[in-house]
Amino acid sequence: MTHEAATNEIGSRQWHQAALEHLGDDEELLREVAGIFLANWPRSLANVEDALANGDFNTLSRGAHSIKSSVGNFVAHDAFDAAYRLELAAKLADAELAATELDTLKAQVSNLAGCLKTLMEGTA
Amino acid sequence: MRLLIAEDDGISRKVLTRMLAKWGHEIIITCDGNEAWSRLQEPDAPKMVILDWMMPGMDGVDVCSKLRQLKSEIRPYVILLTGMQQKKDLITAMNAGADDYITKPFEPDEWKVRIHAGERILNLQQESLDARQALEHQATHDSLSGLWNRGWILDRLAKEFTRPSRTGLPTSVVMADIDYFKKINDTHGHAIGDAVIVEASRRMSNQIRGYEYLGRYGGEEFLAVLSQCNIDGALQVAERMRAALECSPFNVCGVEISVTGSFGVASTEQLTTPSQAMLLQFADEAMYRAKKDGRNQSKIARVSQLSRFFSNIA
Repeated sequence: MTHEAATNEIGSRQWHQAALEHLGDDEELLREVAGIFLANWPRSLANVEDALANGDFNTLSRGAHSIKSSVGNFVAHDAFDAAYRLELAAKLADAELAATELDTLKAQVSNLAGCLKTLMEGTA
Repeated sequence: MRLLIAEDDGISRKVLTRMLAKWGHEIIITCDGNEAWSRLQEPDAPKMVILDWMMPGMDGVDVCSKLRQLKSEIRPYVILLTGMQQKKDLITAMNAGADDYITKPFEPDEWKVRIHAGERILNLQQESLDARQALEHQATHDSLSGLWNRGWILDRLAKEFTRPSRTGLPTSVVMADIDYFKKINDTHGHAIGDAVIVEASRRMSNQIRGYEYLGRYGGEEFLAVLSQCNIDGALQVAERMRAALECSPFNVCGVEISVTGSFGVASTEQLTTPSQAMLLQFADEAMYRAKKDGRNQSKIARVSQLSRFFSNIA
């Protein structure tokens, strides 16, 4: 195992422990909501991307708010903060800032999705 | 405790539902503000309400404001959920009538203690309501028979005279007295006498409909107030009550006692200028005539004779 792989492994295990604790040590619930999130994420992302492309800041704000609620359940603080900033940018109707925050959110959710996939595969 | 949750995010909904169920709560789950508002207007709606702030349709603050306009014996305890974290949001939530405010992401331990705090407040409200209702019952009911007490039944009758009749139908009263009650007390003792009052009350009240009222007027005297009931209808009620006493001996504390009653009936339709005092006087006269004529019977007031009596003393 390389150093990077080992670091990722440790990070993933720490996240798993924290997420599990957050949900009252309910492994079944964690897997269930992880499955829902992974299934819904492409649609949620398309929704906010379309809203941004169309300058529909109201839909963008609601979409970001909804993502923020979802990721908050996984102790994904960075993804939560990114969604919150996207929501604020949408409320300010600032397309440029929203585009930057959306990129950050995508990167953060990508990290989270990695952890969730590992969990679903049963290797976390 | 029964809780209503309104949360549009499916993942948060699932997490909340599972956690709260684990802690032993019964959960009614709704997906938006409109659905929550609809459920909260139902008579058995939960008193603990958890509302997400931002939802499609009505948001949590709107639902909370509308909920506060509903009349309710117990004021629901409302917790607003939000990702907004500024002080002005807290003020908006509290001004809308929220009792508490939780920011996302949720912390299960925080949830637990906040729900317990809400439970304590709801329990205090329930205890206070129970105490008030117990006092109200005590103030309006006869402690022995469980019937309406004298004060309440007379107030009820007075209302018949102050409230304009929508239907124009008369009000009637039935005055009842247990025959030879003093003899029962003297022969069997007061404990048996009390048990006879209780059983007689039970039998007579079974003959009264939901919109009619039976109260304990005095020691062994009872008064029934029958709204929108003419003299023939009142006589039928009196006869039903009389038959209910007579039909089988009372078995009280292992002693079998035959009990009968005498009944007097009067109605506002018999009076040109009806008053509460006249109606009671006439029913009383009829009841004493029933006693005089041999007991265990019902008599209708002879208004013409009494009217003359009242004219003479006027």
